[in-house]
Amino acid sequence: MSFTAPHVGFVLVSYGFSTLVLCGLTAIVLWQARSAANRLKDLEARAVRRRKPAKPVNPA
Amino acid sequence: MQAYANPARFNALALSVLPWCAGITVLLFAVGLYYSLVVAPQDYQQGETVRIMFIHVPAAWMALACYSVMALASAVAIIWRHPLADVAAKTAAPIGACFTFLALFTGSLWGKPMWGTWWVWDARLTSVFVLFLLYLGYIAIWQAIEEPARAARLAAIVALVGFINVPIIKYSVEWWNSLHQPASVLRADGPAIHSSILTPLLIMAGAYTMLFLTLHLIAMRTEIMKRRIHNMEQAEVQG
Repeated sequence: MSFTAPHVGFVLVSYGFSTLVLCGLTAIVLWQARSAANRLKDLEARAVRRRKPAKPVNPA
Repeated sequence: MQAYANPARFNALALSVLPWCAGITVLLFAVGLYYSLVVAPQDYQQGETVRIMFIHVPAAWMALACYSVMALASAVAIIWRHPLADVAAKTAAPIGACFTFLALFTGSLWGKPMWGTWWVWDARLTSVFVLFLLYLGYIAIWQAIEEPARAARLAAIVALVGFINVPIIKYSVEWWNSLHQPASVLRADGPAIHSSILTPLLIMAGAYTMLFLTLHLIAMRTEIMKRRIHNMEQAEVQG
């Protein structure tokens, strides 16, 4: 690609902006997946703790 | 197909294919960008601006493909009440909206040096803009309605009614006078462009398709997790 050709700025802005949008979209999708996985793990751990039977208290 | 209606099975399948999808996406983008920016020659009329085609056309194709996936999934959700169908439709929408926005933006950047204008309200450009508004409307329905079943049904109806716009976009350049050029790849008599331009275009189209597949699978898994989180939180509140 020739950087001195006419209108090359339009090409560079097109590629730059597309990269920005697609990388941004990928980052958001991955961030949402990670935060949902962490939240689910936390809730599952709490549910397991709640299901554990309490130790019997020795009256003596 | 019915076997993967079970979210647990779908999750397991998605998890096994995701690394391959991501790897193929990166590879196709690397090769596609090399061909687009280095190997492909200048056009004798358009000069360097022809390179915008390698990102504009795949974005436009994916804008239509994502909406078609959304409409198909919505039809399946309404007719067969497939458990994953409305998850597939809901999660395709933001990705499709991004592709549509990119098609409009890069098209505008291509139009200015070639047509002398950023925008014109002709049939092709206007119908793609309507598609973008349909995506935003679909996403807004999911955001605005709290009850998931009601949101899913209303969003599915909007997706199906809006699907009428897909053939309008495709044939707009044939039905009406337009500044936009007619189809030069997806034609009954084969592609009308030289292989030196067609090769990078098809590689980039493959890269965009694989990116959609990868992001869609991740987003579907996330949506399934979110629904599980919602159910668990409801159960916790109810004691």
